[in-house]
Amino acid sequence: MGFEQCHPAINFIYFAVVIYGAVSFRHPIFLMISFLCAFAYSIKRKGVRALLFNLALLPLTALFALYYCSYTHFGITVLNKNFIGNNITLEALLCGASLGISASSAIMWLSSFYCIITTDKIIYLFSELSPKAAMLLSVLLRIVPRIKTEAQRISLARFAIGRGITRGNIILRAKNFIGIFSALITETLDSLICVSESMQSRGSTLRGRKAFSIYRFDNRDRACVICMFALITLTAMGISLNQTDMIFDPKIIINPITPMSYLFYFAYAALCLMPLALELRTQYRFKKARKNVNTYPQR
Amino acid sequence: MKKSDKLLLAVFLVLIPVTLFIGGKLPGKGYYITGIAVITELCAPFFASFEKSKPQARELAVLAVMCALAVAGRIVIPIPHFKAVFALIMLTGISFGANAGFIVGAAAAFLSNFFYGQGAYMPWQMMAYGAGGMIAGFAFCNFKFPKKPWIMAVFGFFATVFWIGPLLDCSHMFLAMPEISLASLAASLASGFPVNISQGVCTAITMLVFGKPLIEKLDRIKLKYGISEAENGL
Amino acid sequence: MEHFKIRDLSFSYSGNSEKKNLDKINLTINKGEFVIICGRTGSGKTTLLRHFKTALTPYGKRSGEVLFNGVELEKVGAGEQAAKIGYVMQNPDEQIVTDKVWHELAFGLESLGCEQKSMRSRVAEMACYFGIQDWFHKSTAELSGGQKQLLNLAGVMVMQPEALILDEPTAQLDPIAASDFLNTVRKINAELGITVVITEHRLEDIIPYCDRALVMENGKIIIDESPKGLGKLLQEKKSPMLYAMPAPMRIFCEADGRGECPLTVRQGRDWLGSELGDNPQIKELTEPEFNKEVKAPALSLKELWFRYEKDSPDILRGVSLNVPQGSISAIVGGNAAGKTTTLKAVCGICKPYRGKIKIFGKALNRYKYGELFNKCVSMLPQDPKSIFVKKSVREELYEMTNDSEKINETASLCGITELFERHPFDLSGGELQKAALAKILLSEPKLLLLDEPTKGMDAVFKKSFARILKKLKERGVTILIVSHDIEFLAEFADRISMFFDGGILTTDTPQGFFGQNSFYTTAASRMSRDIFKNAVTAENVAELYLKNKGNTYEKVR
Repeated sequence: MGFEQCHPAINFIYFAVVIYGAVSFRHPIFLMISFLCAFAYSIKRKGVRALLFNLALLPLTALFALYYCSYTHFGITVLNKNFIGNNITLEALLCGASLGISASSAIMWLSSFYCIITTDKIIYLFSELSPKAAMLLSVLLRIVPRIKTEAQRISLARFAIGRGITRGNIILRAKNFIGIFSALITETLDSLICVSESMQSRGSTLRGRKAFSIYRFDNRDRACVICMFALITLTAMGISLNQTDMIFDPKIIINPITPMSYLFYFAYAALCLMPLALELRTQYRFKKARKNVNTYPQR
Repeated sequence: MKKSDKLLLAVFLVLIPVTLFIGGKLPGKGYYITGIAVITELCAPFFASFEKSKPQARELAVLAVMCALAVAGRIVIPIPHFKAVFALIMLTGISFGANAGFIVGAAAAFLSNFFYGQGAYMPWQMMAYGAGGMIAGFAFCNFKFPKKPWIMAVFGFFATVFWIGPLLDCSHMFLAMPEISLASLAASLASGFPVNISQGVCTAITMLVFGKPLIEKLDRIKLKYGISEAENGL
Repeated sequence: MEHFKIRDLSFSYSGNSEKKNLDKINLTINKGEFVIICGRTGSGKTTLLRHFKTALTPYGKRSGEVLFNGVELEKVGAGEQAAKIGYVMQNPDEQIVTDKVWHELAFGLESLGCEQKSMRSRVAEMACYFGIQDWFHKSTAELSGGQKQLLNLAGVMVMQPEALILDEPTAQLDPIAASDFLNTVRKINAELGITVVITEHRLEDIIPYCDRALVMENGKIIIDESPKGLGKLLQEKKSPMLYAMPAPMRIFCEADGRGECPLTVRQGRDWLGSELGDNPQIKELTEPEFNKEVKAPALSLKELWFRYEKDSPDILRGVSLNVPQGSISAIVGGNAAGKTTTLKAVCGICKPYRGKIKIFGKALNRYKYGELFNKCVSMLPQDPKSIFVKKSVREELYEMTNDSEKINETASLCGITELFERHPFDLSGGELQKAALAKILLSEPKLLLLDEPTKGMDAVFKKSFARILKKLKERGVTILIVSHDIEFLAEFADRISMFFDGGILTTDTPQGFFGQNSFYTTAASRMSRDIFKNAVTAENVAELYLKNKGNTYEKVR
């Protein structure tokens, strides 16, 4: 509950922004914010499996950092020399670490993305651009799984007359496979023509197609949009003031942290935490509402 | 020659090269615009080829299946430079005519590039793949080559090595070479020759193995649903 | 007011210029009429229906004209046709175009370019009328056959058509879904006044309510009559279509009754009661012998337990069954009960985690793959098209064996000799089942498994199919049928078993089985159960009736 109930446009804009942030910000505090919020949200959505997956990302990040500093040589703080004679520097190590953390944050955000964005929402996005494209996409989403089910059905039927592909010697299996493949192509051609007739008989070739949207924009969505855009503007200000950069080469330079920076950190953190906050709040209110219901006598 | 075929030749020989030339000068992701321009220009002869006012959904459905098979032919085989896609595009041209071959070729190039990565080569690939379909259509529908497997295989080999291949190599010259001259053209063609040979072999093998069954299936569909008789060819 | 007018329409498919698929059809359909078109497979019904919409009109040589509201159909715009003429096809799966139920409902309106608000309200209205609101957000791939067909109907009705054309819409559905669907169509005609033109093989539910019934044969309309007069007319013409009519009508005609022809079971009971009174002399037919114990069964299932996935519920919960050799046995039961799963278990496709399967006394897992399906077991699947992979029926048969004598013999047994050069995917109705049956008979099975063999078959085809099964029985082949077609099984099966709650409940002869049920039984039994004890088929009832009247019963054809 919570974030996926919002309008798809909000979902899309949100993920676009946080993934962009995860990938392009280099400042350690921003990186940490990205990482921790992505971590928290993916655990909230997917539970223990996400926890294990995310924890596995940490050693991978460390390995990547080591790998990175072994082939990139810039910076002035030399830690060691590798076997060729190139320098292994602190700057390269930290740069590798920051790249690794950005990548991990992006991966964690993407895993929540796939939870929230369903095919319905993708079709909605297409339909805003072009209703015909949305129609073709839904037709594609119907037909491709159908081809798979058809293939299974044909395969089972052939098995039951002794022409299967799962048992028997290899030559027989290959012959049967080619037969099934050929039948599948003919079947697909025929059924696709049927589908196209069904579409045309309901007017798919007419001009001026509009798209039906199952999403309604309500007050909560309005509040989300305002909130989100305020936070995005603040973060954009931070970007333009170079608050999100960090230079590694040749020396590590970070912008000095001023009280103003705290504002940007807060804005970005608030942005990243928005869906999590939304979901927790919805859950809390739901529990509270249910408690009230139970006070009525049972019938 | 039919009006639509003349239109197709005009578009192919004049309009598209001009578009590609101008498009090559566009910076960055300009190749998307060029690609869309090429497809739009192709649509003119395609729609002109239908005797009725609008293409029936059935015909588009069959072309969509052929396109999907062609894309699968490029993606599914893991061996580089040994893709069955050209054969499948040519088979479309053989069955349904030059226009259909062109459109399916161009669409197959565009869609399979989503898997392989879109790049500045995309409009060129569209043109070259489509040209393969077109020439197969002209040869077997207009000039009435017999549709026998070995004839199609030999034709497929030569078309890949001496027509599609060089067109793709030209794109290399226009986009990657520092200067456009006969010398650079020769260099591109020479470097592409071995790749073309291996592609040609794959095309020939696909034609031999899949040519006849696929043509039979398409003939049955054509007869049953009345898609493009010989005179009305797409 | 004329809605459709067809003048001198003749049509032949492009491959076949001599055979006329439609031969000078002249037909007028008025607004709000409910018209049924009956006829055998290949009589031209589907071809005629497809001429009602230009988007679906087949390709071929045509002469004559079709007028819609007085205007030639070709001149009616695509948008107007899409909105005003709704068409529902036979196969529910192939008509669904999108991946979600809500999108399928909205598809037509999207194409017509409706405004968002009116789209929402129309979709909501249709979803409520058809009861779809519970599965509004589901994926179309998850729906059952009946739900899919209902969705197709809703998707067409949402565009508020003036006419509804339905081409054998219940052919692929089980009886309950079919009955629901036809009831809905009837409601639509009665409450909304929409013109309905429907072709059907399942006539019990709609013949009593239609305005006109047309019978087609060889591309011509030979009868155009109201339902009451239909029975007598068919009997006079000695048309085989009489066999396709609902049981009350058939009984009336075969018994040579006088007076008004009964169309529904209730009218039939009234007629029987009035003719024979409460207590006729001869009440029952001699029942055939029934042995509960089966010695040396062809197939023996003991306590099978099976589930598809670890976390899903058990589908088979202790299935036990003994099928005697050389018999035609049947399993009936509700939809998705597990009957097909049982057949799959016999073939080895589904492996039960508990229980034993023995085929001709040998355990299933002892059979090698090649051994099991050669001269032993063979299964005809629910969709017979799935076993065809070649481009002509002849090649399909030659795939199984090289012996041309055997092929010709089997082909003539199954009556498919004329179909040799046809592409298997071009066959329709019963032709597909017969060709598939011929193909699997070439592996000389001793145990034949049939899964819904009579789906989409017209009544006359069913009779000839049954004749083939009887001949096979004479040769000693054991046949096990899973079916919903109670009427067919009542006439031709030897033993019937009821599948319920994951297991086989009872097994009995058709008379014993259907004789004691009130709902799950044939129309003839429902019509006569107060008067006769064990009449389950129309022939049984007619025979008993005539015996009571002192006449002898002779088969009319």
